[in-house]
Amino acid sequence: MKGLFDFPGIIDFFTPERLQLILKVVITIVAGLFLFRLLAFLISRLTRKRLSAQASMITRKIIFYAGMIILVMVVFKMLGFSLAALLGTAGVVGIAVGFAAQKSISNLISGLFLISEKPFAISDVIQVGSTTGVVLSIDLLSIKIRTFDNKYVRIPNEQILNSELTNITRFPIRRVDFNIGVAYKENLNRVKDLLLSIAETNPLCLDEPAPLFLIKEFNEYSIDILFGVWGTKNDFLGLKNSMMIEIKETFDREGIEIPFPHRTLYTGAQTSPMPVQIVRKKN
Amino acid sequence: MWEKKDIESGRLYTADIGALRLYLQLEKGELHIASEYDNEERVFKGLHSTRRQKKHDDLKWLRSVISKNIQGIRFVPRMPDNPVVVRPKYEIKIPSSSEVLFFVNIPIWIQVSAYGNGGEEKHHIELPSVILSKTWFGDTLSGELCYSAKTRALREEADPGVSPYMVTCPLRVRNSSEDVLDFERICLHVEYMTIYSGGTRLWSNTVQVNYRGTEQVSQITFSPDVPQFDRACRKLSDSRQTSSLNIVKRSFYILKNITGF
Repeated sequence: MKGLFDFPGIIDFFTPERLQLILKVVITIVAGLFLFRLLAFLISRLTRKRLSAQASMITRKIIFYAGMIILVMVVFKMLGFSLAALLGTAGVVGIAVGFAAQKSISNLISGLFLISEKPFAISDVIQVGSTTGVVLSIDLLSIKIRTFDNKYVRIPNEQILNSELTNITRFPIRRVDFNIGVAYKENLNRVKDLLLSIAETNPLCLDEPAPLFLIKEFNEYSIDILFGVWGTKNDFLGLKNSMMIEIKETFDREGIEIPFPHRTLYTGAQTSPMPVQIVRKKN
Repeated sequence: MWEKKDIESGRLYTADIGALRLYLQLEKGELHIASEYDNEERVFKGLHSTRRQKKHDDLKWLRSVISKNIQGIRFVPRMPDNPVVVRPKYEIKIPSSSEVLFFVNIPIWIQVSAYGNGGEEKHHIELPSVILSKTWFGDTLSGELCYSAKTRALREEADPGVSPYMVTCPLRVRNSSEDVLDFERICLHVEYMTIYSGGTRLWSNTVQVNYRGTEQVSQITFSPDVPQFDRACRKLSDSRQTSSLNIVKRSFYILKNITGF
């Protein structure tokens, strides 16, 4: 206790030479941090037009972290530590950290694989598991997504690399599929003509590729049809909604029946007795 | 139709071009514009004052702020704002080492310009005379968004059925390959075309397409000269984009069998 509050001892420790050294170290750290941040920023600006957004971001981070390592080594050297011994210690520490940081390193390596593979880019709409959203950033350890109901989702890179990923906006056009069941009594050629005319008059529907009309199967209570129309990826929602509305309205107008199973609900545990009516009495 | 027309402030004017009906009114330093489309072509009528002077409230009006010394309106014909995929009504086969001249009609876009006392013009709005359906030229992996138009692809310039809102594009197709060219459809990059006024109709500059086979892209040349048909002379509007004389682009699309669904 007495040693802890030994003020004359503490004052003796901070000799003019030591104070000068501490000042030098602080200035070096501050200047180094500022310099490497500035360098990383300038490199990022220069590479923005030549590289993709994610490559530019990765370059910036590599320069900054490499600069930090150099800065730490310079500071240690200023403080009189032997770099050789330090590197030896770092090797042992590295193994320990490696075991502890397995997941992080795995995510880092997965991130590098994702960068080289480029399954998606910033602003693409992707689906990973049950999460669908717009890619906000692709970082070293994870990617960040904004879902359509405006939630922020962070997905580790390792998870993306090891699971099925769907890039919804990779290609410029998409097909919107409609599974339609019509009653057995309907004339299928007439149904086909009606669906094709709906596609032809819809302003969001592309003439080519041509719409797909496929009779899938004779189901239990309906004949199932797959009708697919093409639109640009930006028009997907508008095309789907407008086609659904127009198909329903046209079928109603033309008397095309879309059958569906009926359910009868009974209230309570017991049903009423079966009703019996005497039609004719036998003498 | 394409000349300047003075309009009075407060009066409602209309014009029928193709399937488009335009409504215009100059009011308190603003140009009010509305439009509606019919399913069929209307009887062509230039800008005129309507009997019914009450504004149509059921229409969606656009208010364009203009300078107070605006004197009148001019309609300018423009080519569509996207490439147009033209499909002949019947399939055409062009033998090897042959050159054929077709005449293809494409509906114009109408640009509404307001001019002032000093002669300066400002463009306000552009509308299609006919709503063309959209199509994709290319495959499902890449391509470009285009408009779709069917054509009779006549071989003679004297076509009595050309409407005033159509521009006739002379299309010279040369088949330099060793195979027969199946002319199913062609993507016309109309953004490089200029519109001229002729004796009986509108004309664009001539497009020369040199087809060199399925493995090579076609060479397209947009002639800088005035078309030599129908006494065409006066330039009515410039192309949307300036082109180099030769554009190497994929124009002909050979339909592939797509089996996946």
